[in-house]
Amino acid sequence: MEPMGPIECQGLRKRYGWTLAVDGLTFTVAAGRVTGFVGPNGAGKSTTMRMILGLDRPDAGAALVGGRRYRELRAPLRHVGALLDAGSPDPGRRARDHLLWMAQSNGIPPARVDEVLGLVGLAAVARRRFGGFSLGMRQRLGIAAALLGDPPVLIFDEPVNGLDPEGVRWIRGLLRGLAAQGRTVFVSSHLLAELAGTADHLVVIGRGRLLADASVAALTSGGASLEDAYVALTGGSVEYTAGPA
Amino acid sequence: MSLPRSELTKLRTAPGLVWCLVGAAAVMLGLPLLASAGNPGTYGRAAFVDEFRFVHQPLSGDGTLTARVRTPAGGHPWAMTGLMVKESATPGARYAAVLVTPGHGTRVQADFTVDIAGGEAASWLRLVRTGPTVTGYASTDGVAWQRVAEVPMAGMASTVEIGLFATSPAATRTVATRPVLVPTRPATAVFDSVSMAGPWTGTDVGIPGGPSTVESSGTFAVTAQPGDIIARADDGSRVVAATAGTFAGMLPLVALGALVMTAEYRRHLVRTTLAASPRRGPVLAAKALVTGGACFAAALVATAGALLLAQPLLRRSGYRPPTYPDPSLSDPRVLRVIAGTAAAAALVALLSLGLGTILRRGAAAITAVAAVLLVPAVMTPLLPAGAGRWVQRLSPVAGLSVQQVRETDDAFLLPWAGRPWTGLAVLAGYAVAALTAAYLLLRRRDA
Repeated sequence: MEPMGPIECQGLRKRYGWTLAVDGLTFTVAAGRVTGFVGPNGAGKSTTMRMILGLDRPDAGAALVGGRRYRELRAPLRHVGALLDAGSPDPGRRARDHLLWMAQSNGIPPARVDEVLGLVGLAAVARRRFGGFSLGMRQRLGIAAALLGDPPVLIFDEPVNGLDPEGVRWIRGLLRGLAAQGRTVFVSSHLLAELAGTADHLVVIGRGRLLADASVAALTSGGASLEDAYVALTGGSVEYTAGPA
Repeated sequence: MSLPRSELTKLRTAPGLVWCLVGAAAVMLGLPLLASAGNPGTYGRAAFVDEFRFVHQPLSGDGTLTARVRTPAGGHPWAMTGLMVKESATPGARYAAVLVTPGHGTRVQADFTVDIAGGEAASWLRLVRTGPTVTGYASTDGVAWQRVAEVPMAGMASTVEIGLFATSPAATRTVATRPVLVPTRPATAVFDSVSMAGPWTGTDVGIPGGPSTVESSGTFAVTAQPGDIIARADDGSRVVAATAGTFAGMLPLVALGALVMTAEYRRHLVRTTLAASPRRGPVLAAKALVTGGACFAAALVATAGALLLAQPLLRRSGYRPPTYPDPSLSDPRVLRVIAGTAAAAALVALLSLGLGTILRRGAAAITAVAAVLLVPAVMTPLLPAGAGRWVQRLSPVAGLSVQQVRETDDAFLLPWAGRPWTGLAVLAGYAVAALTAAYLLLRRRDA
């Protein structure tokens, strides 16, 4: 594994047409703990993650991983593993082949492919085509791809989406285990409850701005439940609110 | 080399893309075999084509025929209108003629082998038989005459047929094994001021009878069904046959080139690709290398296979030595046709990869490239000859010129005849331009 490093976002700003998706976001994700990235739908979580991964170019500010811009990394999968929403292989491609091309592009030995397939419990279906995978299997394959380069930094966008309770439990254990190894683990979710027992630290955003960057303990001090603290924070930044019943 | 290897893994593990390659190779191999499996014996019988409309009367001994060509037969650069002496009005009989063509000026021709050029197409023609020689003259005004050529016709019978003739080649001046669109309308030539009096006999030599000759007060309208007067020679058919499937086989490769990129956009897989390899130039270069390489290999194997497998079928159809010698893989021209075809197929796929990257939508990119390839081919017969040729010369289909074997610039979709590599360079220019634009956009855009 490469040396550990934090994720640093410095004044990130991104506009798509008329929409200001991310508006001056500054925060740091430290190594050795699970950091939750929460906010209502459309808050800018996925956009921020894409900017960290060098996929979208920030209009202002910078995102650094271990002190370097993502685009400067030569074998980035060895530094950062990412599970992105909705990114999916060709339905006709076999699970193992999907990981194989990723490994080849970063000079990772093919033996590691079989290793991570075992790690996420897909060894038995390694030669099945992706099109026949259930949502849970797809998510596991995405996590296997993130773990492929044994990276010190892991970014998961909505990892428990579509998982059954057993899968959710598995992910939680995995995230905690990765953090315990000293890795930087950054997990987004629009549902706070999903992160309740997992995250040590929370970065809360709404409408592209930072609302809170604090430990779970600090947010729940004063006897408030985490849920109440979250609603109090994000109350002003949800896009659509139901009217009175 | 890690990126090209990774892209090769992607290509070979996506069944849809592999099927595009297999489909292209199957078409490039199958169509030539289909085209070569024509009627046995079609081309073996006669050493000449002798098909035209002849309006004639007997001539014993010496004689002179003069006529003005009011309207020459058109429809082809080698359409012929002129005066002829022929031993009899039957195919293969000996002849000598002076004639005008739309594309190749005034000529004197005899016995399928003699062809002497005589400058611009004249409007007055004269044919003189004196003893054992026949002489053709041409004039612009019917007063000042230029001798075009004198041909010895020793041994010709003393009584021959003399008269007016017209013919317009349709398929005979194209390579029989190259599928083309050719207009096959009858051509009409109009003569007047004919120096000999009747009675005249109209004969369709070598072709089924068509509309009869119309004569009214000294004006002759001679209408000929498509035909030609020419010796059969090796037109490259035995090599050209191998390219019969190129154009159709390119279409799956157009889909392949576009889908290599657009399928990734459709599933957002491009984010995974660019997260694994953030330098976008090398990603596009690796895709181009793998796509181009795979298409080149598929087209090369299919075209070389078609060339070899078509030969027994072609021999059976009458394409036999000595007129049609066996092609050899060591002939540089044969190698150029095969390797050039593979290169053209690869370049078309790269053009499609570039447009796919620019447009990011498979349907849009495939439609655009297919249109760019098909429109000049469909439009050409509708345009004036010169304009049609330039449309072909400047469009990506110019790349098919690399398949030229023996044809002249009259051939369809070979607009750079005599300069086969120029055509390929035009296509390469399009591919490079598309990939350059694709690179600039890919580098700038959000994934």
